[in-house]
Amino acid sequence: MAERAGGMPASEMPTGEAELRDALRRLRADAVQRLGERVQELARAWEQDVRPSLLAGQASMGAAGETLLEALGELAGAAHRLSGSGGTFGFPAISAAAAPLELILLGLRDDPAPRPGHLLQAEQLIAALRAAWEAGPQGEMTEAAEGGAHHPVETAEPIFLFATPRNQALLSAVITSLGYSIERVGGEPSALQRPPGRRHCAAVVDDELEAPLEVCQTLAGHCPVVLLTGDIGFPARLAAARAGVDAVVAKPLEVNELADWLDHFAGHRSDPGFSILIVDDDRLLAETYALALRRAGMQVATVADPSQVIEAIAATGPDLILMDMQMPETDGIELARVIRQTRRHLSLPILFLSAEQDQQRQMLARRLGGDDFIPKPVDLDRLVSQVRMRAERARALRAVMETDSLTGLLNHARFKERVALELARAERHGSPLSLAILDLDHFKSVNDRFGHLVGDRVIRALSRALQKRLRRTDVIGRYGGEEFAVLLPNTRPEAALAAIDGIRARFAEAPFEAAGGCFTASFSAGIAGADGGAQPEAMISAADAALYAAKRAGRNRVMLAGD
Amino acid sequence: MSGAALQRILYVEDDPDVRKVTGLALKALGRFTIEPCASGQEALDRAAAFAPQLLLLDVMMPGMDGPTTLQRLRELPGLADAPAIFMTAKVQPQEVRRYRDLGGLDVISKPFDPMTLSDQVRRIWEGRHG
Repeated sequence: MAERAGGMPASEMPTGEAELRDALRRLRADAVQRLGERVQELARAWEQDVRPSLLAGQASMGAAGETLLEALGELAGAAHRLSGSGGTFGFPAISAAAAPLELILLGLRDDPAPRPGHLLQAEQLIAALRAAWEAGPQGEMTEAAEGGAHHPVETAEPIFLFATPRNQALLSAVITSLGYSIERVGGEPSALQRPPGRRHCAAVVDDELEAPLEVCQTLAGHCPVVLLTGDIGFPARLAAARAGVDAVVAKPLEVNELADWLDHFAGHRSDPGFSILIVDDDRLLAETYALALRRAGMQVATVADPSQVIEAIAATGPDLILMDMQMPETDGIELARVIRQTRRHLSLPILFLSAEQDQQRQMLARRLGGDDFIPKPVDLDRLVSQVRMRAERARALRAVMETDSLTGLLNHARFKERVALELARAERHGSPLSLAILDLDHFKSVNDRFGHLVGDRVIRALSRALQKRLRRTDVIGRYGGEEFAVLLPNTRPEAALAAIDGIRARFAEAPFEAAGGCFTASFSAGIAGADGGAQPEAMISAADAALYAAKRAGRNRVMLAGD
Repeated sequence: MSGAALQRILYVEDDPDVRKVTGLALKALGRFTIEPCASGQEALDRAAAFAPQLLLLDVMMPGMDGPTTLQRLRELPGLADAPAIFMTAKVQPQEVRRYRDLGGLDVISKPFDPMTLSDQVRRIWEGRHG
């Protein structure tokens, strides 16, 4: 017989809208109360029955052992249900603690001789569960609504624009032209009472509003805040930072700067998530940490055998390594030294998990390549935030090292590495690959006439045009001063020619404004395809030759190698 | 079935409290006819008689999980093409893609707001025709 919602017979199902909402509210309130009871009951069962039996070593003792295993299974089931329902009723922290707790409890059940480390970790999680209940609901419905909102995959979130009526039209036009949609809010204070309910890529605030910093303060923490301001002196920047402003863009509007920030914030959200490698011979604990990190949106690989670490790094390209300090045979410190023997891994952050209290050994570990310590049993909340913080910085640093500072594109060395990589891939799959090399025409005279700042603007404009018009899978590099290179996987040279020529035609028409007047810029390009077994050098010089043919033929055109 | 208004939803969720609140919300606010099931097995037992237009499945369930339940449900007569929505904890875009590959129309991430769930389900249902 099918169960009735809320245990109500059909005849008593409420009908009016208000009654329905009341009934739902009551049901929710009941559920929340039961949630608390379930947390307490789980903690009580652990403390009074399960833990003492585990400590007494009953798992291996006949009938008592079976009762214990059953109790562990039941506790794991209770943890599972808490992880499913906690968030629904406004307690996401209960879900966050209950999910790894389930894993640990199942591990304890399946391990005939439970390890002390697992018991401690279970203790820690049960304490976290209790604390999560006692802390009360987090934001109630709004929290649930945010988490539950339906996010279409790969749709750019809108920009929230705060500007005076006079500037709104212009700013909207600029932001729309950068490929973002806009939600507009005027300067009226009433509109600012409530921060935006929907997710936004960023908020853009114009400093001509009354009290712009107060607007920023209201928005800070809900989404990244960009302040457009005529005053970029230090005191103004400091005041903005205090109001929670993430980015300052100077007026008269630096469109490229604004574009870079918006792309940065939009890209930040669609990042595939940090890649973390966990090295721990204790598989259960490794999986527990992995679960917590995955729930926070990270991609996690685990390795139990220290000798496989180097291969695992090569295979997963982690942003950070989380490593147990005490492992049999190879300890963490030694392993960190091995990892640091490779130059590429010098900047890879390593976090140690350690029950180690010895300050001297901790110093030694730091000196030999560890970046930080996380005490065991692990507070998973702290673990997540520590890992995220470190990984974020490591990624930002790597981006600085590998990309060109003016355009954010790959630098020359990294681009050449990608050429070799993509050539090998194309050969493996028998798929076509094209390489285009682009060079701005008469760039020196732009610099001479209008100055280097204007020249830089042209370079960034071309960089943006390439990023916008090419596919996500295409690889773009800044090859030299005014030279760019593009790799187009799965593309025959003829198709690459059509794509690059389309960009060329548009770019040549777009006017640049400078103090010395209005001007246009153009580029020439040469394209080469990959023939079976082509070497990177040969492909690059073929594209180069085509580029010079295009220059000789009068510039502002794209030519194929060999034509 | 194409173009028909959504009425009958088979809903599988192992947590009793979530099941009650969600069930009532879907019935009361969405005016749907709901068949709530506590497990994949219960869903298999009742699906044929209920003849759902849509399957709403929790992903993580003890015993038979959501994707397996969907697979088994689709083997039943009349349900080979039944559209399904998965419900699961916070998801990444690539996971959404994986659930879609498994045959889901879409994924609703948990925790969700019971008050807006009906609209969300209806949007996904209406969006499926293009």
